[in-house]
Amino acid sequence: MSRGETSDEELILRISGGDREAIRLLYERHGRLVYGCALQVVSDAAAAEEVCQDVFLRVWERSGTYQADKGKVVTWLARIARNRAIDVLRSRRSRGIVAEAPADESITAAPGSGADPGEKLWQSLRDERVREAVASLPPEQRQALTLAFFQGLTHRQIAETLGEPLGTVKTRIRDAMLKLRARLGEREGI
Amino acid sequence: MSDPHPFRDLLPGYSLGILDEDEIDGVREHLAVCAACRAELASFHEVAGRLAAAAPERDLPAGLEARIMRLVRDRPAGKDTIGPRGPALLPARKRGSPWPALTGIAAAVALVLGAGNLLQWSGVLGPAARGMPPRLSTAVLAGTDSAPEAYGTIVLDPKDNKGVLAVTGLPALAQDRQYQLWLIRDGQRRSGGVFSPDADGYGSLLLTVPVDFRDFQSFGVSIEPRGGSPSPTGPRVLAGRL
Repeated sequence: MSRGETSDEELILRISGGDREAIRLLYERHGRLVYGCALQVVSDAAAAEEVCQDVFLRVWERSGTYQADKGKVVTWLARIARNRAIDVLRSRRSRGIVAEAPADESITAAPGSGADPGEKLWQSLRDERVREAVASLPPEQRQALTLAFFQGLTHRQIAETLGEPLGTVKTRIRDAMLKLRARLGEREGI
Repeated sequence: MSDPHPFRDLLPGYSLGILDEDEIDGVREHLAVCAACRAELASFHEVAGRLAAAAPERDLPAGLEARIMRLVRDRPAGKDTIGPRGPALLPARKRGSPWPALTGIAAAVALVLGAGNLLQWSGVLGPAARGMPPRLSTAVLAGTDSAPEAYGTIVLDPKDNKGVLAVTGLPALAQDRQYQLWLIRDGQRRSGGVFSPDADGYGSLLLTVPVDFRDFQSFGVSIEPRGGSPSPTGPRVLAGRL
């Protein structure tokens, strides 16, 4: 944000008052990220476009759900986008429609079997600090997190996919999130 | 002494929206009464948000901004609803009977079907309350943040593409508004008809669609101008999947 530019938080405040220019500015500022986030999960331009539209309409109708003390606007937006995209992915999966690459690409490969599962997805992240934090996770934790985060598989589905006990998968996901929180929070105050 | 935070280990998974259905209710109930776990959850939400916000930006499709602004123009801005949820998973079923909505809204179904048809459908509703009849499909609809008390069921007969929607807990609407059912396939929405709830919040609708119902993967109900809209313009109050 350049000096004198309206902050994201101010835009959200204006949106809650029905200011349409504010939602346009928010879209202009973060639309590419929201769309990119959705596309990363659904791997389909039309579906990602629908998710993006849904996210900004949701923000327009529910701007009061944003809590400034819980995090930045941009992470709030991105999380909504990821969650909506996962909904789409699950709906497709329930109908037997498998997403095309890159989201599915080799993410179920066994740890240590060659390429890091989901490596391309994690390496494509823009934020170096996040990339490094994810890279620091043990391979088996990263693999479980990949299936959870990009595919929206439940603990049980991940266990079935990997052929691991359910309790092991739960522990891996929990430990991965705890480590990420610790690493990302070192300088960010999460 | 019992553990004061029995669901703490599940909070990372809850934040990612990857809990199994049977775990979600317990976590939600505990969160409602535990500030410490709510704070813990918020920290995992932020981690998930950081992962999502690191996604590569992509060029936006032409026309998307104009479409969003058109839709925004027709909707009131809202301020006060519940925070961004995890992925919907499946709509949470109430505990007890596997098909509680069917028994709870049987009266509404009877009103829709009429006495004669009810005889024909009685073989449906009875077995459905005990377990799924083999030739029928059902979709359980859960209320959204806009109508958290709403709950409903669609019962479909794929043989003749007919069905019935029955809903309870719907807020009353202004005279110039009605609820509209949407049948959703690949992101495309087809109107399933409009209806108005009675004074007790019950609403119902007979459905006939000239294609196989099973082609639709999900359903939604939104608030629209009386008579319905070509596509959804108002807030969604119910959502569910076949």
